[in-house]
Amino acid sequence: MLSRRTALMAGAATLATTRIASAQARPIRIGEINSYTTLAAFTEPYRKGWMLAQEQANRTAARPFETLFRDDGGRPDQALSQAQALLSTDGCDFLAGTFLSNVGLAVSDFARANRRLFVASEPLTDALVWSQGHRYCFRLRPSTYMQAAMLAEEAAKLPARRWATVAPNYEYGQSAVRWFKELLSRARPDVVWVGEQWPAQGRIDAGATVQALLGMQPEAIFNATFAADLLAFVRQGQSRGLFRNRAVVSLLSGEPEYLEPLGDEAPEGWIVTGYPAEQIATPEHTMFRDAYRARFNELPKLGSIVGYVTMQAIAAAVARAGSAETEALVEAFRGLTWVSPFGPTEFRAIDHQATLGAYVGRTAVRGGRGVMVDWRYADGRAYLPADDIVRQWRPQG
Amino acid sequence: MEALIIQALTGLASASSLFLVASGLSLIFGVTRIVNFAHGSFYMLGAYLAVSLLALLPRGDPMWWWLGVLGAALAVGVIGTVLEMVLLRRIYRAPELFQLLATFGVVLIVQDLVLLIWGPQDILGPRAPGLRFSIEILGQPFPVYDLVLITIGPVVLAGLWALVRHTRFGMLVRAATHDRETVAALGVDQRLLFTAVFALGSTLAGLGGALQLPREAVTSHMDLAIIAEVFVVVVVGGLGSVPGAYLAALLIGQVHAFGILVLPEITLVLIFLVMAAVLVVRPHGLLGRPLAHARGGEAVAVLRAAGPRVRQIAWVALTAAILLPLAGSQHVVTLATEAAVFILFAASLHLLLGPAGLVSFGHAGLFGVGAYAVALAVKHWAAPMAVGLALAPFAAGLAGAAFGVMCAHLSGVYLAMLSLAFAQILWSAAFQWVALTGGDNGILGVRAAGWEGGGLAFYYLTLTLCLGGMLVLRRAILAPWGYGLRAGRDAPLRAAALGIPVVRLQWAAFAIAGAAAGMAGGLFAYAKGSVFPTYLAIPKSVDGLLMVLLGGIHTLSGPLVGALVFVGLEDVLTRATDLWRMALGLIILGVVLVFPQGVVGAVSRRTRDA
Amino acid sequence: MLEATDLVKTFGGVRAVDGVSLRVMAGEVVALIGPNGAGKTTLFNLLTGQLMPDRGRLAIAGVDTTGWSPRRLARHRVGRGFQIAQAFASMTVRENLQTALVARDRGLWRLWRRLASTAVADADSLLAAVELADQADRPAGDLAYGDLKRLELALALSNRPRLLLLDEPTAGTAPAERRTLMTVAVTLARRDHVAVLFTEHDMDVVFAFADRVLVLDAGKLIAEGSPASVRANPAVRRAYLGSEA
Ligand SMILES: Nc1ncnc2c1ncn2[C@@H]1O[C@H](COP(=O)(O)OP(=O)(O)OP(=O)(O)O)[C@@H](O)[C@H]1O
Ligand SMILES: [Mg+2]
Repeated sequence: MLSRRTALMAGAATLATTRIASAQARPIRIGEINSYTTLAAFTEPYRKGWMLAQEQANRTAARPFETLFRDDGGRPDQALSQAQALLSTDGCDFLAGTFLSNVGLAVSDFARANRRLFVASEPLTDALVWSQGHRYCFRLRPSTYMQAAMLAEEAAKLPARRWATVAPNYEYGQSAVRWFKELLSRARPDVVWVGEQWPAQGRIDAGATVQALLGMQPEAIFNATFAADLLAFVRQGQSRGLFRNRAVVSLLSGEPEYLEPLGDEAPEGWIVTGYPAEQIATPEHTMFRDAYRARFNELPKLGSIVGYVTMQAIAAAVARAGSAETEALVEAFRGLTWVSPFGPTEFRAIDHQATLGAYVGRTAVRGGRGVMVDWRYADGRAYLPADDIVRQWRPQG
Repeated sequence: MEALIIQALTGLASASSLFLVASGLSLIFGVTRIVNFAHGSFYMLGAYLAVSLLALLPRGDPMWWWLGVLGAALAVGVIGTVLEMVLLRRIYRAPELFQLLATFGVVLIVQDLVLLIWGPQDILGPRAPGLRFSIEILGQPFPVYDLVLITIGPVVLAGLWALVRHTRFGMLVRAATHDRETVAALGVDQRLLFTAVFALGSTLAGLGGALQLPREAVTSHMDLAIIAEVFVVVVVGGLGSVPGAYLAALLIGQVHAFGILVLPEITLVLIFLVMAAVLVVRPHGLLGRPLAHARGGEAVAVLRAAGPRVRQIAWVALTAAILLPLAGSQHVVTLATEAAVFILFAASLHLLLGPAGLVSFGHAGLFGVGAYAVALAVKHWAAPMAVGLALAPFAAGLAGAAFGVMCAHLSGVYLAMLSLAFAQILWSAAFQWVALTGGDNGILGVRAAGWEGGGLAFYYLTLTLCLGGMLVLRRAILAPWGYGLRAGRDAPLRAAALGIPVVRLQWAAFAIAGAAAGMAGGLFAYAKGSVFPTYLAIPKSVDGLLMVLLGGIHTLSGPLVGALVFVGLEDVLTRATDLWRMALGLIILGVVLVFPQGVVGAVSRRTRDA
Repeated sequence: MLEATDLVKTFGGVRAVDGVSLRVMAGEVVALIGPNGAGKTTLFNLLTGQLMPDRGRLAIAGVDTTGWSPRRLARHRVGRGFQIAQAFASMTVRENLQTALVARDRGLWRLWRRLASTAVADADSLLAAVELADQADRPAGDLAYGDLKRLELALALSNRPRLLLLDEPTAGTAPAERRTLMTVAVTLARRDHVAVLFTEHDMDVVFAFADRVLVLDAGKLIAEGSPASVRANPAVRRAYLGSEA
């Protein structure tokens, strides 16, 4: 009840501020596209984080921000229709958002063709900033490559030599496995890869997959499944003894979105990338977490961070550019630095990738909940390839 | 060896869950002839309701757990009954497939309801108390719960078998499935029978969902994840055959389990390959028999060329379309381009669904072939637009012809399912042949200078090609060829006795519809500037079905109106609300109840009566 | 015109047609009678290619047509009327005939020319012949059953048959209607010297129109001859005793 009232009041407050502000200047309109219906577990906290950042920015901004949130239904073509409508009918100044890699790429391609800015928040595909990178697209989240690199670094320290992989069968899973194998093999030439499993995204046949992995008799497993697939995989793996005496290195599994539903069945001792929201005690993060809690009465999830930081970066870039005009904004984004809840962050000029990192640690069960322990912040900067390699990968000009 | 046995056991456990859901669908189809898309929603509701019920009941006691699961299944049964009584019962006399539209509306509504009620988080439901441990089988730990599931399958099978073989209800079910006249002759209240079968079928689906709790996460995607697979099981087993469903579930379960060992990359498409193979060898599935003809009493309207009134309206509409860019914004032009593309797409599907009487659930496959033909030509040869737009209908026409050969001997829902398999196989090629197609990241930068999607030039080109294409299709439908097709649909025996080469005409229909869909797909690729596997995916095929059915199957302007309505609705709703699926679902139900002949069907009926 | 030799068809264990041999001459009108389930329709289906015989041979107009498809037989000018009328419900009565006529003339592969303007005169004359001209523009799906049987007859006649096989052309119609229907059929057939084989349950109709009668029981021909001789045949009486008086 209390939370609803505060939310209402906050809502009224935003309304009031926008009204006062709009008397001063036309708001800067952001067209935000995401998978609100198909990936609500991520995108709901995402939108909350975004709104929080927008409210904070609007307290000081010369021109207030206004965001139109649109659903892409998980389909690139629908996202493209939305992008078109947001720019032409709704008069948005630029585009942002997206979760799925293919949706991100579609909108990015649209932005390139139309010379409009697109700030991609979540899509992980490397292509977005490298092989398909271009002047008008920036991406916030650490990419598949970066997160695979973070995990490969940890994996190299393990004694295990026989590795198996399991990943969803689409670009994200494929490139995660490819990079992890390449980077780990480079660090540990003695590693042998004993097998791969490629369950279909969202349709894992967990029992059979686990059984197949058991048959490969690996010493360690690299996992890139997430969401519902991960839950089923963990459950079947536990009951069939897959994780007994085996190291597991797992992409994204430390994110609250995926760890929380596991409850007391969360696996122990997996090396994961994620976000231990309640434990991070840096001043910037504490400030964010407290504000988020006050506003929504819950702990932030990783989606909240992504939404918050994207909007934060946009506000910083607009302030730097002094305008919402595309070319000026692009220049402002290149090399933009700001302090996110994860610490100082930068949008690299060389490939438009943000240096936002991820937390790498181990999973454990505490008080009937899965948590991350022994974690550290892996700054994205340290897990990006050398500049000359980036220049090879990214079309120049 | 031990590993293989364990793998087989795992496959058996999956087979049991599949069977529970599939048997219900098979019964419902056999008796009511409804392709019930909402069956996946029943399954999902079973799981969610079980989560909620079990949260209320005392924890840790096996008895309460099982009661909770049963309670959830029964609750779903009640939901199914209500659905049948308030919705489906009113539309049994509408054209075949119209019920499909209604059940799809239900799917959309349930998806949003589930999000509203249970929230977006995936839920890991409670495991069965007392069955959480594993036992050693051949030196490998194996979950006891899976062993329980393995036995539940045959138990339910035996129960259903006894019900169908040895009760009056069962006799009616069999009669309704294979010999409709008997049911009518017995003076049975068909409505009661339909309701009872729906109740039973949905209860089974709910039970299947609830029993999955210990095995996998409860998510708002469960419905669509299971439905395609269950369709496969039902079709492979033979529609209406419960033992067939069990056999097919066993087969599919094992294909999954061992497919993972041998070819882990193609698990998704493997079951569709199996289905295609089974249907080619046994056109009625493993244990299926030819079904009695669909429900009688369906009103088949006479197709008419446009009268003067309709012509007037058409000219006005065309003028409006040409002048549109003057008035509208960029977005309106884009939208109109898209609408034109979908008009041709819907018209091509209508050729199959309507005059040819060939139900295709995989029409997006042909659309996608056109789109990918363009994209690949642009990417690899930098082909100019003229080449791309020639290639698209050609490639898709060939694909359509190939498909026509494959399913020449099939009809009805079997044909629909084979077309679904065909499209899924194409989809998985687009999805997984990353080197050629870029996988799910698609192919970007499909553009031709001067003809940008959203530009005026491209709009007029699309308008010309799509409306032109639609008129050609229309003309062909009113030509002897189209009459020959309809003759084959209306009375195949008579057509054959008159020397009408029905199979060849149908084959041509596939090729022509393929070419038209391919043209639409090619234009769509240019309009969007990129192509993705979603263009060939099931939801796109369903969109096409929605357009045709919304407009009305038995009219010539149905697909046009249906496509316009659909594109307009989708645009307005997705921009207005996050609950657009529910809104769309409700509108679909409204249309189904108010205009059981589709929008155009209703209008023309009214004007004719007046 | 039609010569069938030793035709056999079994369904599961049932010998629906069991060694039937028969001949029908050009210009001859022959009735095939027998109790319900005797195998009449099955025999017709064998003669028109809807079913493949397990054994036996079939010759029509001096050509061995064993194993031919219905379509090929239609081209060979075999006309078929169905026991349960089979018309194209989504077309008007005239369109039904236009379609049939276009099919006969192998004009179905035209994708551009409208059917509406094709074969109108021929269609209308056939309709007039079966006294259905006033219904030409009605949807076939809306016809009264008697009219549907007329349309059925017109369709069977549409390919200028030299052999006409009519399976209960009058079934389901009123007694008065039966006579008119048969009169139409037989008059046309005699005019064009067509061989006719028809089945019929109404004995008055059989004796009024048939030159010769074949009696089928349990898949076997048990009698053959003029209407009067068949009527007197004790075996025929026995076969009918169970089912009909
Ligand atoms: N497709 C089939 N499968 C199995 N049995 C069949 C089939 N068609 C006919 N039969 C059987 O063959 C026998 C002959 O049937 P048919 O329809 O030829 O008889 P009929 O003389 O035409 O009867 P009626 O006077 O009722 O029309 C019957 O016992 C029937 O049950
Ligand atoms: Mg008969």
